[in-house]
Amino acid sequence: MLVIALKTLFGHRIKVIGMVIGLAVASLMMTQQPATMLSILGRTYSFIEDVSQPDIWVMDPMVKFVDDAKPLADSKLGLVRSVQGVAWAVPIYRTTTAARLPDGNTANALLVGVDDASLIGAPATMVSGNTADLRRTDAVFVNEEGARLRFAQRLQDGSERPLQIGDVLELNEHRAEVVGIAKTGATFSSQPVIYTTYTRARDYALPQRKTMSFVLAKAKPGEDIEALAQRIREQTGLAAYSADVFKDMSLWYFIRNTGILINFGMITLVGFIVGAVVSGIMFFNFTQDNLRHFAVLKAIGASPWQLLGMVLLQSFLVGAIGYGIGVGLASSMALVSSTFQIKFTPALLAFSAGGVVLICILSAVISLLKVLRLEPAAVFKA
Amino acid sequence: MTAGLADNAAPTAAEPAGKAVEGCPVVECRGLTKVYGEGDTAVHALRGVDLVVEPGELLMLVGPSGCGKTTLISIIASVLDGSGGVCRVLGHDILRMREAEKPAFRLKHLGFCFQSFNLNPCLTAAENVAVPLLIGGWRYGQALARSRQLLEQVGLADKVGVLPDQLSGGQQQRVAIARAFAQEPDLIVCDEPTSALDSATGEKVLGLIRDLTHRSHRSVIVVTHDARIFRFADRIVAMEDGRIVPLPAAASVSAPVLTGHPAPATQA
Repeated sequence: MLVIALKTLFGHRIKVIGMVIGLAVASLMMTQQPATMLSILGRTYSFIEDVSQPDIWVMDPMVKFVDDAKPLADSKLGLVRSVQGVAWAVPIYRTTTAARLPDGNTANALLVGVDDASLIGAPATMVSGNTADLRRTDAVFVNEEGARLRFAQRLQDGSERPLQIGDVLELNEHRAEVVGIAKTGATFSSQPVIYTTYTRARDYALPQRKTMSFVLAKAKPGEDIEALAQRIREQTGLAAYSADVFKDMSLWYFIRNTGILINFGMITLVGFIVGAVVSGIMFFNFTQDNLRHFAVLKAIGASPWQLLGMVLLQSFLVGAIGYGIGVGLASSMALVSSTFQIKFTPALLAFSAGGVVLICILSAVISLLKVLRLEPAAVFKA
Repeated sequence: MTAGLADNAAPTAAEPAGKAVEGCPVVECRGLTKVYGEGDTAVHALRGVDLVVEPGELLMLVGPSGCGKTTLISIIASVLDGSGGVCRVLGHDILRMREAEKPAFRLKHLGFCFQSFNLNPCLTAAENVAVPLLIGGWRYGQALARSRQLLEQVGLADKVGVLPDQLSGGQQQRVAIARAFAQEPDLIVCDEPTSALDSATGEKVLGLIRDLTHRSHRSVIVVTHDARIFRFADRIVAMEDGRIVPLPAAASVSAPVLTGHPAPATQA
């Protein structure tokens, strides 16, 4: 029976191509758009993920998300360290600065100053160079994406060369030598990220009375992190959140205050509707064209379950082909885009596959209603 | 020929509903009625039909358009519900058979041959013949092997892998006949099998049906307008206004061909 279903399906090539294109477009939109949205939203908390060691982030109570750092007085560091249950606490500094490149160009960048002694807050993964090199005179790391894109230098022959170890930047009239290229998550604004020590970062930045952006704290072994965060809040008057909570805060700030979710969600919904309508109508037409043959099968003795199996096989096979093409196209688009990295997570692929399955079920149900209501006596009509 | 039709291996699928009852007529209708619609708009398609079809008999059902021939064979074939009376097919009361049992009953006991052939244009001749076997649970390879035998028996051994639109009308009807015989049914129902064919081809097709029927001792009901093929019948039954009526004058109906099979007297 399944052979009959497959041969009948592929005997109608034009309709199959139409259905596959409809489903491929739907799959593309249902995969690529949410992936883009998730990648953008992932940038809202990538800095928190890159700084992996601390359990708790301590900040000004008015801070709403990670890019909203409000300077703290250095004295707050001691307050946090004095809270019972804190294993260690270090400062981290974040600000924006203008960097002059070796070729004379300037570009804005995010400047991050990590604890001089422990280097906690420095990127965990280095593309080239060693973390300890950050202690060298005038040493800075640059993130890989920044080095490759915004900090790339235009050579005399017109080509571009990524920033490399040994290149020297000028930050607020201070020399900064690149001693490492780090792998970090992209920032929301796609700015390059320059890492250096806390002390040196204060020199590179414009003079400010308060410079500390966050205090990064580690809980002692066995300490309940949420309880410790609560203690820090009570004893210091500052805000303190676990890394996960702070990530969620940053994420939801952007979701609530931008149209990202609605806009990408609408496009995804449109993809689903277009796919459902196009494929549903074409599949219904395909079934309509074959009603006489379904009637013959019913007259000969095919059971409703066999007909159900045939229609579902046809629908899901077309769906699988369309989904494969759609996801393939989405992956290809992601691969050719060098400036924006899109991640396709298993959950995201499952989401778009679920959308395609839903379209297939809807298409099959509409067609099945027609097939199952079909009078087998129709075969005796000329 | 006979061996091929008789030696059909049993399918692997579950046994379909019902077995033919030994010694019974293949078809026995008593006072069968069919009414379409209700009240003033009701159409009485069958008004108390009495009909018996014996094993091995090739019966032709003749009459003008709208007289109820197709309705009658549709009820006999269990693809349409009757309104009243009795209709037993192979001993089974079709009017009281549960809907869920009918597909398996048809698959096991009935074969169909249609006016417009109803071959699937996407399937080869052999695959079209194999359709009842595949529905019955045969494996694809086995079903195709059996289909090849059947196509050989209807003279289409060289058309096994050909699509229907590459076959002539007569060849398509022969494929349909092979499909009707594929499951070795007890009763084959043919609706105007020659109306889409020229006279010579129509006669060949009916000759083939009669040949297959008598060799395998199966019963066939043929609905037809085509007087040229009346001579192939064992018995002819005429219908008019939903009733069995006496046959028209001998001028319009040739005498049925008498065979060695016991056939009851022509009705009405």
